[in-house]
Amino acid sequence: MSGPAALAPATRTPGAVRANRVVLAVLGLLLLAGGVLVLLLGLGVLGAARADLAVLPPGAAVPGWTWPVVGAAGVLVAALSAWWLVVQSRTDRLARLRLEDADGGRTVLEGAALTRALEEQVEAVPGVARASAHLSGTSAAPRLHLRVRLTGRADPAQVHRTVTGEVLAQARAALEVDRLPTRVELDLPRGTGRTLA
Amino acid sequence: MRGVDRVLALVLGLVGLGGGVLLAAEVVQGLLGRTGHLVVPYEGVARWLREHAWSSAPVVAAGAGVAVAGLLLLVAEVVPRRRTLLVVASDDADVVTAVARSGVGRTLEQAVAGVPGVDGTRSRVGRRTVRLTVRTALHDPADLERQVHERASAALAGLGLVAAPELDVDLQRVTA
Repeated sequence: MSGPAALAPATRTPGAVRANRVVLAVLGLLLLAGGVLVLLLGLGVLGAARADLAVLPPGAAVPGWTWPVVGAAGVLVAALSAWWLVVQSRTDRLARLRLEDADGGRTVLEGAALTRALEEQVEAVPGVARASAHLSGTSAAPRLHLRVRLTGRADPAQVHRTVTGEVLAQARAALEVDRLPTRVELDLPRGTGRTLA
Repeated sequence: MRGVDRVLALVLGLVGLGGGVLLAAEVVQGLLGRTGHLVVPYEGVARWLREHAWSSAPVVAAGAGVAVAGLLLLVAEVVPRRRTLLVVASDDADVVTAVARSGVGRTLEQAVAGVPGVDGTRSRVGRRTVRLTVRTALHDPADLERQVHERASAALAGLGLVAAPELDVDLQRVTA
């Protein structure tokens, strides 16, 4: 097996995670640039005369285009903020799968129905306390995400073999696909042993 | 960090949406020739900015504060996130299985909790090493250390990690 030895936890909102990192990094950069500019002005690096000027010079003439530009900037900020808020609710969840029938027809399968059945199958495996599943990707190339909470009373390796063997084989059959890229997160229980004080 | 990012996104998104709309509304109010503010009482802020020079202490302090906040935010977002899951080896190339580091630690603690002489356990799992601290009141814990190491090693091997961290058992003697 090749691939990384460590991973970041999976997320159902990968778009929001990416957007948040980019937007917050840009905001951080803008804040840093603004703060440094104020410091340079205040400490007289950009000229001692400028440092003694008021931040908002009284009676300074403002070009006629300034306020419409400020207003447009306000609208732009509001629009970008609205987009940012909307992105937070977008998940990669595949709600419906369209399966091609042998006679050329189509069957629509509810993703939630399939994942619920999968969860029940996984929870029936000895040593599994709870399971949650969701599908992402497309109908032609779905991806499965499984989170399995163990009871701690079974060998995790055995549970892993059963889940990735029998259960995934049934999932592939249900989805009528040869390959089903799957990510499984095993959640091992809190120790039943005595912890250090 | 994702949770913190999510909270920041919701708060700043709402502030940006409200602030942007209010800013545009105030500009329209001004362009229509109406004096005074619509919602935001910005006259006080404008007066303060007229009364303070760039070199005044409050302005410099505010600039320093903004720069530090920006730097912290930038560093927090640019630095790669910690990979908290360790990958379990799988025969199926289409399956990637991972287990949380804390879970690995719990498994090792459970594996040694039943060893006679073990009074308490604690674990710290990194990508390369796992440190298992075991507390005991035994006077001669040499055999205990061997047993703990064997059981923890077996439990670690049983997880079948792609790159299992090196096990380091630390025995701490306490008075009974």
